[in-house]
Amino acid sequence: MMNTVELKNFSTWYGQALVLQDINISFCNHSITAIVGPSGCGKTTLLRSINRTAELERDFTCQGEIQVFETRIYEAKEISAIRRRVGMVYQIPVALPLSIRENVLFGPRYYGVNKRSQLDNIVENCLRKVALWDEVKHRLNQSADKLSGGQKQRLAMARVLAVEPQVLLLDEPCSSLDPASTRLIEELLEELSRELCIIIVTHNLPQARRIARETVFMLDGKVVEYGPTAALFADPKNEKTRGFVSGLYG
Amino acid sequence: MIKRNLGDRILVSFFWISGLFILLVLVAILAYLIWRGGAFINIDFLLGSPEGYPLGSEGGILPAIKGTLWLILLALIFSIIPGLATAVYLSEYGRNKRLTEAVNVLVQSMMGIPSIVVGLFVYALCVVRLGWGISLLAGGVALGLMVFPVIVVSSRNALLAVDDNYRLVARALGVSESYIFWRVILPRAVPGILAGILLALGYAAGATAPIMVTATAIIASSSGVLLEPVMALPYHLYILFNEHMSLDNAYATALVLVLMLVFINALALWLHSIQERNNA
Repeated sequence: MMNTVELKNFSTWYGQALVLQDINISFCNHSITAIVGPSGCGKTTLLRSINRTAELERDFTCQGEIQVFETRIYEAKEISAIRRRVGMVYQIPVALPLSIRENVLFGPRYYGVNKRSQLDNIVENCLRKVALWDEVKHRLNQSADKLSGGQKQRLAMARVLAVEPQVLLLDEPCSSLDPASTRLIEELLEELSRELCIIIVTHNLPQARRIARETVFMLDGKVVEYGPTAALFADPKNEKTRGFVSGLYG
Repeated sequence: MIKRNLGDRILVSFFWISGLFILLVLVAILAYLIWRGGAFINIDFLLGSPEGYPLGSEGGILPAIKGTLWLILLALIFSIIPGLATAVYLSEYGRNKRLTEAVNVLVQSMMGIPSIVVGLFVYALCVVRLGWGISLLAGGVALGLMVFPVIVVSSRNALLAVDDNYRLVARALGVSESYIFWRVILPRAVPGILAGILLALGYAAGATAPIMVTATAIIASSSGVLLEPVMALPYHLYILFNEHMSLDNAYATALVLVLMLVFINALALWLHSIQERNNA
């Protein structure tokens, strides 16, 4: 299987504080990988480094390299192109203060799509991919503020899919959602993983077991263990992983 | 009934009394002005020019109203563009930069400059050095300089009040900062920015010190010629009181000025409440 996202000797700092330490890992295409670990272990920073939004924080520095489909992203001049290829969905469902339709088209309009028929296609396709089309097709021009939390999160996914990313990063996307919405999003991710590389940070170990083909366990800015999800949960090689997956800490 | 302990009750009563006291003072000022000046406000007063001997003991205040409107118009022209540009830099582009901290401190300190000092600075620079003389233009510059920090701070706060998550999710799509600003941030912040501009406008309309050394005359037609002196409501009021020309007209003038300011401030508060609702 082709490696889509590859980190080599990657380390990051916020000011003097070392956040990620010498990470070496690669993520497969057409697959879901879960990153788990206790709060503050650097999961989110790792995720944000992959679409170059970590550097929006003050005093961020990094060393080593990250390749996305063979492109060394920290040597790329066009940050915008990197972020477009590597989409990101955040923990809090955010609907931009625009209509549902304009939320989906926020990216495409910036990237110069302006033919009516093309725009209509993007809206319908992306909303269908996140199973939102039937719920909102009659009120596309209404404000997205009125949607529920689960709907907003799916809208956020549609907004990201609209710029046709190759990699989809999700930072605890279900932590503020009810079980039904969570289940729906998990199904969508499984569907989307046929065409995308999906990396999801989650605090919810059962969720990782349900949807992830592979799981990464991180602790104190380091990757402790990485492997097929079933094996990692059933028979962890590392003592610390064993403690974490059996609920001793986290 | 909920039983409160004694300490809480004393504190709450103190808050109530303080609030009522301020309200009472405001109502008293307005009531007094209406009582002393209300009867003298009529069409002739609002649309006439000062007359009689000494000048201003009779007649109206139209040139002063016009002068004040011209002055605040110029003040806004001079302050809005640099003020908004500064605010946008501080909130959107200069985040996490040392320069931003320095500019914030500077703007905050500018607010503390006594308005008469601003007036004297503009007098020295524009009236004397640049040779504009006592003029509408110089007064506009002085008031603009005075309200500039007000516009910067209120606009910056309105922009910063917009949910940061919008910026985050938009940046993560790879779109540019200016695209996010025009499509999402600015529309959200407009009511708050307008509220700040109105507050600045009210501040400029009521200020006397900066214009008495740069722009105003006891009598002028206030027709909007940039290099001629103008009349202005607060200065006219000051003259009427100070020279005891006509206390009746002074009270009536004060009432017109205060009503203007109340109207402006009420509008500002209303816009501000829209912004709060938007960002709730």
